[in-house]
Amino acid sequence: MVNPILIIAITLMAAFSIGIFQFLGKKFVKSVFWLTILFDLFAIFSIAYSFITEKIVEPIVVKIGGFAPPIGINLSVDAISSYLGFVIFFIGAGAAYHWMKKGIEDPQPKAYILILLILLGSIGIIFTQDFFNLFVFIEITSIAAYGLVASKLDGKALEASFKYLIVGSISSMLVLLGAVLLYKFYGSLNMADISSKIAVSHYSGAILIMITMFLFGLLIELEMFPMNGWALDVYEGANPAIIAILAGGIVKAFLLVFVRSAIYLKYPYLLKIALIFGLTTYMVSQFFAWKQKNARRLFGYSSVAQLGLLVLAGGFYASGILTSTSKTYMLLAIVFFVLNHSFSKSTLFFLSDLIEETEISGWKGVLRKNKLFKFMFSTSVFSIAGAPPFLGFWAKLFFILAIPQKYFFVVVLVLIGAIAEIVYYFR
Amino acid sequence: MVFFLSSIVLMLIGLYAALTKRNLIKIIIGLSIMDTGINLFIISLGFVKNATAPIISLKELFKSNSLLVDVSKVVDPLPQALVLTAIVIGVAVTAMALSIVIRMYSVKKSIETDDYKELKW
Amino acid sequence: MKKIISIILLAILGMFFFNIVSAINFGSNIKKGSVSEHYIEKGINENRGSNLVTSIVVNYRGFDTLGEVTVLFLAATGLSFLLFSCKCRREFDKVISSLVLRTATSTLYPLILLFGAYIFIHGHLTPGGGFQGGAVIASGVMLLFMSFRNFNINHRELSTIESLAGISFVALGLAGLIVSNSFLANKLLPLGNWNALFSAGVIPLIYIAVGFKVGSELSGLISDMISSTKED
Repeated sequence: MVNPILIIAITLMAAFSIGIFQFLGKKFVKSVFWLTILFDLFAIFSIAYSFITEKIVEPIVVKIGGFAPPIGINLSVDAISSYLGFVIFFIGAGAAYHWMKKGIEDPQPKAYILILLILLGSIGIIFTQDFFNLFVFIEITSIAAYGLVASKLDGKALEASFKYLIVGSISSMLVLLGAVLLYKFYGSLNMADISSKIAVSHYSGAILIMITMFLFGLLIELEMFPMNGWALDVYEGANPAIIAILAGGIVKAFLLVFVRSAIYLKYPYLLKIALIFGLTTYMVSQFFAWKQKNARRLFGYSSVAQLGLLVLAGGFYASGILTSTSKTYMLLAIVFFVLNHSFSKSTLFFLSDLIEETEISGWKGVLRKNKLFKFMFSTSVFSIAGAPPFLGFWAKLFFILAIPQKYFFVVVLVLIGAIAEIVYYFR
Repeated sequence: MVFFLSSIVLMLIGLYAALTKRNLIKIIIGLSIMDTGINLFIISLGFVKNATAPIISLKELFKSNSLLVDVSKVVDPLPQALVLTAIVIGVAVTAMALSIVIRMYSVKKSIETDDYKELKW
Repeated sequence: MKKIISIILLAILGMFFFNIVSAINFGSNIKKGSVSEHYIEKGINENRGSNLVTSIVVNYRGFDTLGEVTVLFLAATGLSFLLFSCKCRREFDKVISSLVLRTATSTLYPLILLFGAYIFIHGHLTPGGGFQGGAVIASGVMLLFMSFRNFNINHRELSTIESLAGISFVALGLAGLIVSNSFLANKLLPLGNWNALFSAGVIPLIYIAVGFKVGSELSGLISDMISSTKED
C-alpha cells in the first residue's frame, strides 16, 4: 500500500521532468506521461483496495514535514477520497487516450504537463485537510483548466476559457477570504482543529456571513444556477476530452470538498442552501435542455442538472436529519450516481467528438447508420435517464428511498425532471 | 480600521471592473486590482500594535531568561506567508489571462467583448 | 442593466464585508493557542532561521510553497502552450532605445543579478527569499529586453534550469521522506547557529532552488510574450 504523498510527489516530479524531456522527442515524453499515470492509478487503487477489503479502517493521515497538525499541514485519505481519486485518474487517463488517438497530430508535450497537473490538483483538493492548502490546490486545478479549455485555439474555446477565468478568479477570491478570516477568528488553518473550536463558541453574525461566502465560492465552481453561464460555454466550446476531465472528474472533487467543509464548519443552513440551489439548478437546467438544438449544449445542461441533484444529495447526507439507514442509502446513491454520471457523460462527450455533428438532427442521421455508436449512445442515455438495470436506476432509487417524509415534494420534482430528461434524450 | 476599509474598497472596485467593463484588458486590470485588495486585506489582519517585523536578529525580542521569543513584540508572520503565496498565484492568473487575450486578438483582431458573440456573455 | 445589477451585488457584498470587519479588532495581540504563537515562540529553536516568515513558508507550510511553485510552472507552461507559433503580428515598429538606457542597462544588469541572488541566498536571515529574489532577476532580464532590439533568450536553457530547480525541490522533499519518514522534513542537514549563513538545515537550499526557478520562469514568460508578437 502506497504512501499517498508519493502520488503527489512523483506526479510533480514527472511534470517537471517533462519540462526538460520535451526537447528530447515526443516518444520519450509520452512514455514518461503514461508511466506516471499508471503508477498513480496503481497507487490509488492499492489504497482504495485496502479500504474495501478492510485491511485498514481508519483514514490514512500524512503529516507533511513531520509536524503534527495544526502546526503543519496534513493530508487524510479515507475510503470515499480514494474511490473518488481513482475515478478521477481513470477518467483522466481515458480522456488523455482519446485526445491522443483522435487528433491528426499529437498534442504538444506541454499538454501532457497540463493534464498531469490538473489531475494532481484535484487529488490535492480531495486529500488536503487544511483550508489554505485547499486554496492553493484549487488554483493549480483552475489554472491548468484554463489552459486546457483554451487549447483548441479557436474563437469559441478562447472565449469560454476567458469567461471561466473571470468566474474562477471570483470564486477563488471568496475561498481565500474565507480561509484567511477563519484563521483570524479561530487561530489556525486546519479543518479538524477549527471544527473543534467552533463547537465551543457560538455562531455570531459575522462568522455566519464569512462561512456563507466561503461555501458560495465553492458553489460557483459547482456550476450552480444562476452562476453557471461559464460552465455552459465551456461545455460548448472546449475539446470534448477536456470536458470529460472537467465535468466527470474535477467537479466531483469540488463536491466532496463542499460537503466536507460544510460538515467541519458545522454550517446550520446547509440543507436550505442545498435545497434552493440544487433543486433550482436541476429544474432550470432540465427546462433549458428541453429547448436546446445544439447537441453539446444539451449535454451540458443535462450535466449541470445532474450536478444539481448531486448537491441536493450531498446536502441531505451531511445535514444530519437522516436516520442511519437512509444515510447509507444516500451514500450509496451518491457513489453510484458519481460513477454513472462520470462514465456516461464522458462517453457521450467522446462520442460527440467522433460524430462531429453539432445539431441534434445531424445526430439522428449518423446514429442510424453506425451500429457501434448507436450502442454506446443508447447505453449512456439509458444509464443517465435511470432505466433499469443500469446504474442510474439504482442511484435514483436509493436517493428516493433515503429522503425523509417531510421532503416528499423533492421526490415529486425529481421525478418530473427525470421524465423530462427521458423525453429530450429520446428525441 | 482604515486599512480594512481601503482594502475592501479596492476589492470592490476591482470586482466592478471585472464584471462590467467591455474591454478585455480592462477586465484583466480589474482582476489584478481585486488581487491587490485581497492581499492588502490579509496583511492588515496580521498587525499587532507596537510590534516589529518577524525577523529575530536582536536579543531584545526574546523573553527574559529563556529561549522563547516574546509573542507580543513581533507581528504575526502567518498572514505574511499566506500573502506571499497569494501574490504569486495572482501573477500566474494574470499571465494566463494575458496569453488568452493575445491569442484572441490574433484570431479576431479585436479586444472588445462586443465582438465576441458566439457564446452568450 | 448589467451595471445596475453589479452595483447592487457589490453593495450587498460591501455590507457583508463591513459586518465581518467590524468584528475584528485591528492591531490586537495574537491569540493564545493560535498557530502563530507556536511559530513565533519556538520557531527559532526548531529551525534556527531568523526570518520567521521564511521558516513558515519553507518549513512549516512547505507544501503550500510546493503548490505555489507548481502554479508558476503551470502559468509559464500554459502561456507558452497557448502562444505556440502564434501569428500575432504587432502593428507598430520597435523603436531603438536611447543611448542612456543602453549604457545604464549594461552597467546595472550584473548588479541587479547580484542583488537578486543575495536576496534569495539570505532568505532565512533577512527579509526576502526565493520569490522576491527571482522577481528581481526577472526584472533585470526585462530591462535587457527593453534596451536591446535583438535580444533573445534560448528557451531550451531556461526550461532546463526551471525544471531542474523544480526537480531538486521535490527531491529535497523526497530525501526528507527517506531520512525521517515524512515529506519535506528538515532533518537532512545540521541546523547550525542562529544568524549564520549556513544554518537552518534545508531551508536555504530550498529557497535557492526556488529563486532559480522563479527567475528563469518569469524571464521565460516575458520572453514568450515578447517573441510571440514579433514581426515576421
